[in-house]
Amino acid sequence: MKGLTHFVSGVAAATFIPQVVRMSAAGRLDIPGAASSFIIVLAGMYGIMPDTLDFKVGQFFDEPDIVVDPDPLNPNPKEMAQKFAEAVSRSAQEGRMIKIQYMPIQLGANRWRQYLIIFGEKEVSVQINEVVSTSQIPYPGTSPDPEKRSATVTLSHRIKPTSCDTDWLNKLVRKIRKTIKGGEKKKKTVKPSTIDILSGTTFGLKMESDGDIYFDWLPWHRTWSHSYILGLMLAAPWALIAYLLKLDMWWMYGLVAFLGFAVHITEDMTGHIGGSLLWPILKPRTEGFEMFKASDPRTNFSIIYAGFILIVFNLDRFTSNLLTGGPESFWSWWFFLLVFLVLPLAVYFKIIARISDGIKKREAGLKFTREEEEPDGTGDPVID
Amino acid sequence: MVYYYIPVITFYVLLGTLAGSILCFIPALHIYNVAGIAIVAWLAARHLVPYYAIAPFFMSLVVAFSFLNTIPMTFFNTIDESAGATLLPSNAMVIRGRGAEAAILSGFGTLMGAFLLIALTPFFFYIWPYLAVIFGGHLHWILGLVIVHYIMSEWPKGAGRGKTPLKRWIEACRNCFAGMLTFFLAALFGLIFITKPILPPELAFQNIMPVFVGFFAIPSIIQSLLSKFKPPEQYNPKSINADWKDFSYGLLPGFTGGMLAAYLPAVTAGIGAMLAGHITNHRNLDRARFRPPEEEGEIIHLETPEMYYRQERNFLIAGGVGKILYYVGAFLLLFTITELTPFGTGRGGLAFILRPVFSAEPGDFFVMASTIVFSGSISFLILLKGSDIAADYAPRINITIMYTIVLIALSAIVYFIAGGWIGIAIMAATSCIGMIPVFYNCRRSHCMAVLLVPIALNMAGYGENIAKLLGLV
Amino acid sequence: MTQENTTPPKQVTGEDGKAGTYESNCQVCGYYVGASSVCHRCGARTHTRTSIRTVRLVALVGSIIGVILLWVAAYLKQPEIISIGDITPTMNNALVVIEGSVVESQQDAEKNTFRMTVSDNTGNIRINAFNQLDSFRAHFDEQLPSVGDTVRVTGALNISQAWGAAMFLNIPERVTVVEKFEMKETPIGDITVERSGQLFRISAEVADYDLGSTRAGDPMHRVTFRDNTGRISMVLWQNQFEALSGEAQKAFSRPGSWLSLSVRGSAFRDEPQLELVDPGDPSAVEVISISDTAPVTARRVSPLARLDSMRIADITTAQAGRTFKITVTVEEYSLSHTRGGDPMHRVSLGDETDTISMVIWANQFDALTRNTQRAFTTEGSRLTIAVEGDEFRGQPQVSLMDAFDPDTIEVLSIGDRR
Repeated sequence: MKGLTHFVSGVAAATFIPQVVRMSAAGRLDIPGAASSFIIVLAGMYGIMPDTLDFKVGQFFDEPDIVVDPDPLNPNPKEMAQKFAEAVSRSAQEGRMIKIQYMPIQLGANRWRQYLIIFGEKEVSVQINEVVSTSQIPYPGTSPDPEKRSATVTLSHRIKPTSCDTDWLNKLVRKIRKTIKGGEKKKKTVKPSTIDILSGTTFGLKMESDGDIYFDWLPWHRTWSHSYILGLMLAAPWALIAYLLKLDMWWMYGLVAFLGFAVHITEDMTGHIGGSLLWPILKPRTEGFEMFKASDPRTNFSIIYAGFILIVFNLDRFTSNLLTGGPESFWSWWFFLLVFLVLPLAVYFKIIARISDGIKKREAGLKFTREEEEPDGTGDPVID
Repeated sequence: MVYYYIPVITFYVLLGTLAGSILCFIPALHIYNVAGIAIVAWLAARHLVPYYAIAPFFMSLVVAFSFLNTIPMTFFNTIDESAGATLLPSNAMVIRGRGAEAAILSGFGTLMGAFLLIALTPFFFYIWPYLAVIFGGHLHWILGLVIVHYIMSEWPKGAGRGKTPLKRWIEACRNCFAGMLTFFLAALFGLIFITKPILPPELAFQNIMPVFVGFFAIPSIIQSLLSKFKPPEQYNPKSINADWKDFSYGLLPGFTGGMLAAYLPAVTAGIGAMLAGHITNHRNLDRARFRPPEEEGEIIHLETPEMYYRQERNFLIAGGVGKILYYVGAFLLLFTITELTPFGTGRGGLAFILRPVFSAEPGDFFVMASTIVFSGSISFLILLKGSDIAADYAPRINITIMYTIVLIALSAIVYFIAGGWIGIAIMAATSCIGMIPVFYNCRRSHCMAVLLVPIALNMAGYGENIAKLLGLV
Repeated sequence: MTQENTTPPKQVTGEDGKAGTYESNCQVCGYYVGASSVCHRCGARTHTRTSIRTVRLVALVGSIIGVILLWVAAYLKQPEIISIGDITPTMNNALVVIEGSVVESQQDAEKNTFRMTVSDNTGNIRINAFNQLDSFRAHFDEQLPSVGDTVRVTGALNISQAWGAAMFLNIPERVTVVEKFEMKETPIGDITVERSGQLFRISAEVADYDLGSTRAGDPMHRVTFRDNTGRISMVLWQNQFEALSGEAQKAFSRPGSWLSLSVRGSAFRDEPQLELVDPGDPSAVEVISISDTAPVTARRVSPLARLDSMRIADITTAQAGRTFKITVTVEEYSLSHTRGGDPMHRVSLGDETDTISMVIWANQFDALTRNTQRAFTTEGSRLTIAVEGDEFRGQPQVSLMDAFDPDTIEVLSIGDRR
């Protein structure tokens, strides 16, 4: 999910603890335990922390074996595809994961040369597209010459999108997923990847026991950083600091930080990529439950909105007592949640359904596939 | 007796609209600086301007500014702290000769925002006071959350090239490092400056002026002078490339960003728009599709969805909506006097400037609402004409001369109104900090740490303790 | 590895879509370098970017030096000492020093708040330290600035049209006691009407204690003290009595008890009388001994239930000084200012018989509940108010009987017009 979704979720989760809300209230208020604490900030900070570790640190320290940095003025699709084929061969020969990183081609402050990597079962193609803006909108008339536009190279081994060498935890997740979602279609081919703005993409290629190469998209993402154990380790120092500062309920600082971290990892498990939940005890990345796509705006918006309403709900319940008069009053908790949470979300989903219907109508009769899922945490390319 | 007020108020609303419209054409001059000068003038001639006309006059000044500062921001690349909301797409459109269209799109958003403010009246009186009171005792940590998210959500802009992991990390994250440095320096500057201002006490109400001129105006001018940016030939559009869906899609992010900026102290429309972008972005509802090849040499055709194109327009419209909610809405909230909020919930620079000389009374809200509609409609008409004129003249103006004059004028204003050479020295120091984001490609709003951090700490009651640590008490 | 830029500039496409040589692109490989001095892709130096490199360097160095210089300037800066009477609206948020004597001091242990009013002969200013009483007590070693002390307060002015000027302090270091007022131990016999307003320290026995009630029905504690030089009385209002420690309350209400008190001389009907300076300050009220006499209690009667009702047409100047209740509609409200700059709320009240005006002073208005404030400021509101008859320039008017007692005003409805 998006960074802000995790952030708001972490904060909302922390506000369910009455002591946390009360100690966060301004000391000038007539609220027992009010201490102007910034403790809730820890929940937000740790709510976004796993992706920060990945995207701001981890990806740069995870060294690729092969780097493809195309010539900005004359990109050669053949060479670019051959590099991928070389990575596949090396993976088969060396028996370890080979990581290949494709770099973006920036031509101006708001101009990027877009290219596609298209995967077959035993071939790979690279196609150079138009120049696009940071909003990924193509500039008309910037396509390369047809003869320099694309190239296809045959691979030494077959590549596949799903791993067959899985540990007990991954097997358990697959079993639960099957129970929740029913039968699953087996993914045969890897979806094409688009490379244009910002930081490029890394693929991991690993020979598996069935003789095929497992294609691992963004192998550095959601590994060590998405572990409950790491969360505990990173949260503990806050409890220690609070203890040394002689703050009341010092242990709560560690708990709130861990809560934010744990909410993030748990939310990510509803997506496709999952996480290395028990790293360093169990290092491989466990697949997610594939309930939502990380970049789905409906999921992200509804969670953020729900998070906001729950924050208001909890702040009011534990401090001001203006709106949520308890279960027995007219402004009962349930009435509040019905009016401000359930109904607005119902209206929202109704509107979104109409917009989606319009999109579906436009797509009717068209033959197409969707592009690869966007990595989560990064947010859409909003201008900031 | 009330009928006697109407022509007087109307006169001052027209005067405010006219003053705002003319003054906002001076690139990089912020309306709060104008408001500060106007207050000093009013204090000197208190008997000439009736008390009941103060609020409508200042309201119309800000309304006109919200509409018309779009023109210099679009055509002359000048930006204030809230320009993050609208700059990039409008800049791109100016390069394509569509500056007038960009200005009108943004202006349409502002007009929608003006009517939205009126339509939100029941919300302001029946729901907003509850939210204001519930959040009122928690603002310090909410600002803390804004700070943390703001810093942590700036993603690396470099691709991560380098021979060693460390080099790759530094190359990729240089904008993040620059952002953190800017934030840290601005926050430190704010803590020192707000805890122990070095300007004379009688200038206190305007002491932030040289700071902001330095953070935002001067770096923009230097950037424009160095880049030698000259708008290409512009055309006057007969229509704008947007449908009603674009306007309706722009409402939610505009409302969200605008209200965040209007309520949270030190959160500007730029920061509000960034947060709103993260909250409301629905671009992925219509994701890119791979289709059979359409051009020679293609293996598959990547079809860019309409939503991607729409986003640029939505961004301009939402920026316009957010801008008026921020500038005007923050002041209008001063007039939402209810049992829960007997002194209103107004925030923002104007509310702060006027607080010593003006207090809102019940019923003023509707005078202010009428002022917004009246002044907004006139301002929009001026914007339509002004965009045409700017489109004609922008390519012919010598930008270097224009900015040199503006630079001298701003320095003179700071010298004469904000503390002489001390004001100039403050402006110089903050200009240096303000140039870091411009030249290291990170968010300019990091400079707002100058207020965000001290306000968050002061709200929690820790500001003076930090000052004590800095040896300033 | 850094490559030297020896190759001729390459043609690339710029932001405007035109081909050419662009400063923002690497002239070796054509990659976008922006304002960077080295191409991140090929490592070539971008020699033509000298001006931007200089600006970047100036920005970095200048910003760090700027912050350091600001710190030095702020460190050396001594905030100006100003007179309270010279405070103007443009000084909002200014860091200034006020030097004057404490005329009022209040400690609210429940809210951990310390407040005082400082006067410098040109005006008064309220100093508030919300949620900081503990830290003030610790800093001043329990000897908080009290009435009569000369203090120097450094703080940011908070000026609003509605509330005037105030200061909010978060740390006790902002207050310095320049001169501690030493109250002289004075025999009761030496306290005369002529010495009204002066501060004294007395050590005396409670000779008599009488628990009565005010016209509003609130308890009123009348205490008579004696020593070997004479007798003198003191009236304690309920809020003052409640601010006393439990031990002091006992001592006050039991004749025979001995106390050492900080008091201010005053006069009532040409007789000297005492006022307790700061009931909340333990150093102002020291209990020497407590007598075993049983205390007296009183039952509170609601003032609105007790008082007679009057129609406005029946109120004349003859009623000046009398208390009664009126049920009225707020006909007009206006906010003006006294010559000293304090807000003054003028209300015109009407019933079916006539209208009458009432002035609510700032301290009275502050003491009202929000709802009552709202009712008075909203025309059309209906209230039942316990009032005292008054006279102004020969015309009858009324004033609030006790703004500090919420039971003296009942808001019947809030109006819907200004």
